[in-house]
Amino acid sequence: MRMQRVLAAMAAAALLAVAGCGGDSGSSGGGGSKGGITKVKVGVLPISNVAPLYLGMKKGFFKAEGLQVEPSIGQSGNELVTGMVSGSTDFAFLGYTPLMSARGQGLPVKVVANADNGAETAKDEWTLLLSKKGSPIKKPADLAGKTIAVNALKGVGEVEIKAALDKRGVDPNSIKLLEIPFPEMPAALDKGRVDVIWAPEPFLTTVLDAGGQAVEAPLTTLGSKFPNGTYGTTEKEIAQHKDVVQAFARAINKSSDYATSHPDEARATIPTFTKIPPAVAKKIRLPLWPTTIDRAKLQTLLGFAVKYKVIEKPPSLDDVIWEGAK
Amino acid sequence: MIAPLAAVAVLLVLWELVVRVGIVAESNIPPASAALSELLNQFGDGAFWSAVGSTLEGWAAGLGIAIALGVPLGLLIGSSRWAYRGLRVPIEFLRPIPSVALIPLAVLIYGQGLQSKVFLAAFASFWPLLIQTIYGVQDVDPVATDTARSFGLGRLERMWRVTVPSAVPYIATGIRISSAVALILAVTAELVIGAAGLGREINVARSGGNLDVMYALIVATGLLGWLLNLATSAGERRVLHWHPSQRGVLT
Repeated sequence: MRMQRVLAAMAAAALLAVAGCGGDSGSSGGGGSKGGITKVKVGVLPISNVAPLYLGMKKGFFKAEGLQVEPSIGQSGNELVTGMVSGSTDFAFLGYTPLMSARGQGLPVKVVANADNGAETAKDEWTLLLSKKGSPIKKPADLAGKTIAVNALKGVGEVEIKAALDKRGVDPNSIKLLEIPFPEMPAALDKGRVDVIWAPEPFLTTVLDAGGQAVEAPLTTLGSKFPNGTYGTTEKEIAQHKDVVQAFARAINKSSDYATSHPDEARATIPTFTKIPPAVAKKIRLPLWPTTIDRAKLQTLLGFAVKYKVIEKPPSLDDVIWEGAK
Repeated sequence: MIAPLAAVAVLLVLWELVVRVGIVAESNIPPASAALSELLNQFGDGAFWSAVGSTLEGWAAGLGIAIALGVPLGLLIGSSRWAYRGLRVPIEFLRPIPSVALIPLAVLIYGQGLQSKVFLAAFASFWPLLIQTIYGVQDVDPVATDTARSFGLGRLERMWRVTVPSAVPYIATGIRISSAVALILAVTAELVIGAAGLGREINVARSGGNLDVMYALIVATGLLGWLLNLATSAGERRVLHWHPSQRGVLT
């Protein structure tokens, strides 16, 4: 046992020694400035919600602020947090829930700008609880005791679904959650591995097109235009490159405003950074891109996240949101 | 040449049938014809080739580091009984660590880009090379070594004239194995970490629900692995044309 521990320590030391050689040559910490243009690496998920960032890049809103955005595609909010904290990205597009969870655990991340929100009404919502064609599950009350697929346990899906069911008078503890990645959800629903899936676009549209039924829109049940995603950064970035953070916040807010007033242009950017088939991209539901951070609703979200034990140590919103944010 | 082609054709027909007959729903897996025609589309797309380039970059750098470290270390460890005895346990401890398990460490230290990918590919492909080289050195014919010694050759000269040539077939096999391992890890890093390359493109296609593109790219990674294996085998034959394992049988 002791021998193994010694070996493990040796292995770790050797790895760190090897690692040390690589050093910190990544484009981190605000990036290099050349000719008045600062390169910033932005961690993103390859989903349609991040369209304003790409539209803003295309329209030159970032260039006008002296920024050159280099998107870096990640797989999950937690991974994007790691990317920022390790300094491999300067900013990231991620959910409020993983960001607040990271902050609660003491990681130095902050909200710089609002990214995307749920729809005003359920019929436009872009993440839905869906049942199979012909399934007897048609309304929220039918969800009691059912098995629901979420992309991650102890994630935002669990918070939203349980809180919405609670609001609908359905016992949130009666449901069973099963972890299945979004892309594999339609197949899981087809094969009957789960009764219901919690699916965003573009899977929502493909399932509805195949005769699937919209059972509930958890996000809209929690509140109209409920906040979903944010652009975050680290305290280190704010302390060392405040001007860059301010410039980024101005540019992304301008991009979001532009996307809101020009939804067709925003939609047209989707096939350029996702591989959503163009025919599907034309009809998927888009999120809302308001620029104001809805503190009241975030407090509600945080409350539910704590209630359903997805966030153990809740941070205060003043700690979460950068004082320069809108 | 006919048999392998026939086998590939049979597999493709099976894939097509499994989907067409409905054993697997077409909404879950596209038929072979759809994936292959999408692959042809991809061949005409610059983004595809830049992804291939990124994957090859990670493969080459990872394998290069593994060769640069694994072969000299293997020669040293293999030719010293003392070093072999001392290092056998740490090697046997480190070797089975799946590189994938080091992903969190790689992301923390190197971030989500090329460096992480190279680190993982190099770590994974280092071990087969090291072990092959050690075995190669230990398999040197003692008579040859003794003969060299009785001719008065020094330690270095014996290493260069006897040990290295007789270990080369082992090293070449090690490189072929490590090449495949480096490619697997490069694609894995792209899939999991999101470093640029074919793996990341597969994941983006998956997140976008574009199954034709996803399977076309999966086939592309297979083709790439096959081509790299052909290339390393050809290199092996060239370097080892003198070795019994590569010579045709004379009767």
